[in-house]
Amino acid sequence: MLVFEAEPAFVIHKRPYRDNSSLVQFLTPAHGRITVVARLSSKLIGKTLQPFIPARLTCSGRGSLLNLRHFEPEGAGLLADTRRRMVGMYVNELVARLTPSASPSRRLFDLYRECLQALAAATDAPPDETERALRHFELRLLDLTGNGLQLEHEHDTLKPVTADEDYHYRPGDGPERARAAAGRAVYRGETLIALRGEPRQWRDEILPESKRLLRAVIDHHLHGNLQARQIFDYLKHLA
Amino acid sequence: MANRELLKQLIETFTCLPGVGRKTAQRFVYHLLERDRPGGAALAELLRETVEKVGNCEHCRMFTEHPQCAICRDPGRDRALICVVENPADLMALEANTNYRGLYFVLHGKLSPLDNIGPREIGLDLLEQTLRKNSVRELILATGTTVEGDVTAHVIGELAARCRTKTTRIAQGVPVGGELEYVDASTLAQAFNTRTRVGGDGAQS
Repeated sequence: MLVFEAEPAFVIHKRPYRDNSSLVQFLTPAHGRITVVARLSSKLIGKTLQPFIPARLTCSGRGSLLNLRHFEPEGAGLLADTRRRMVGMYVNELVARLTPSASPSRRLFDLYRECLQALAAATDAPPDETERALRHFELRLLDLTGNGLQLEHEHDTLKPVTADEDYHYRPGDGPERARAAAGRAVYRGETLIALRGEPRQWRDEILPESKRLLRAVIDHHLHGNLQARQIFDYLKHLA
Repeated sequence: MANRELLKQLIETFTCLPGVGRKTAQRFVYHLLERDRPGGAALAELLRETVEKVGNCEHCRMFTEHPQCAICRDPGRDRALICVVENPADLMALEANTNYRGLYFVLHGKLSPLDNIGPREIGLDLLEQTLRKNSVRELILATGTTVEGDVTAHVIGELAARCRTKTTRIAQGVPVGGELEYVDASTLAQAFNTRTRVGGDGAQS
């Protein structure tokens, strides 16, 4: 029994299942992040079931586990370059670990696709559009999963955040006025205010601090369990 | 009753093998009991010994019961060449189908954050030691063409660059006997982007 037909989809992750099958996580707009059993007897399916390729997915089945009936890539993968694929693996890990399964979200699907397109278009030369695209994706993903950042006011005094003050950030609550010798990360009010706006208006100077802030918030929600960072840290250790 | 429990346990245990379902496992067990009890005893003993004694080669991480595997011990091998493969089956495929006479390094996986496999799990600390202490002339990357295989090759390439080791990657593209119109888009794009020179340089004399 067909459950859906020719649904837009991206592969998030694939792992072997039994002898000649794979369990594939897809992100779709109408069904959210779903897990599908794909029998890889067909050579074509085995080769094309790869992340970052826009595709159409047809599934059949009953109950929670679906069977892949047809997978039709729409062109080549969006991320052809290995460095961008590595960043894409980080994006996929965020999607897999932060989003609930089988929760339909057209906005999440569009956000994901736009992020891949932005990563594909980003050049290595400054300004660093990859960093900008990632911070935008992280912020919106946290919003869509109910973990959005409160950037408006101090959570303890309710005073509005001002550009020239320094703040600590408490995930789940929001900013609080920085105290000397508190031993905690400090963020400028200017950065917190900028992150409320559109990414194209962010000044390059706020990007490193935004990265630290979002890293701390994501680590809080995932209990530091983000494996893709190990790869970036390893490359940093080599440099 | 006790026998039925043993049978049931053995059948269930056989299903841990890839491609072996309950029916096949049952066939294995009844075959051993009805026709080949000595074979069953030998299998049990050898399995126990193998699981106990086989570890990883201290140089290349291939399975072996010795400190070094047969390939690493072979004096006829070119020790200045190392080919990196994802798993032992890839090593066996290269041994069977190519005339490669260098050494190997077996990752036993590929970098995959969602499977919790990072640089430590695929033995990059050992590979780094090898590249630093030996005079390796060329490191050949024979990881798969999946996204994870690609990223793994990139990270090992960076490691080799740090150790000043020349690195190559096996070619990817149109399969032998393949017609272009039937090749998928990603493979065709990859093959086109990594095209190689044919014949002379084409300059008119």
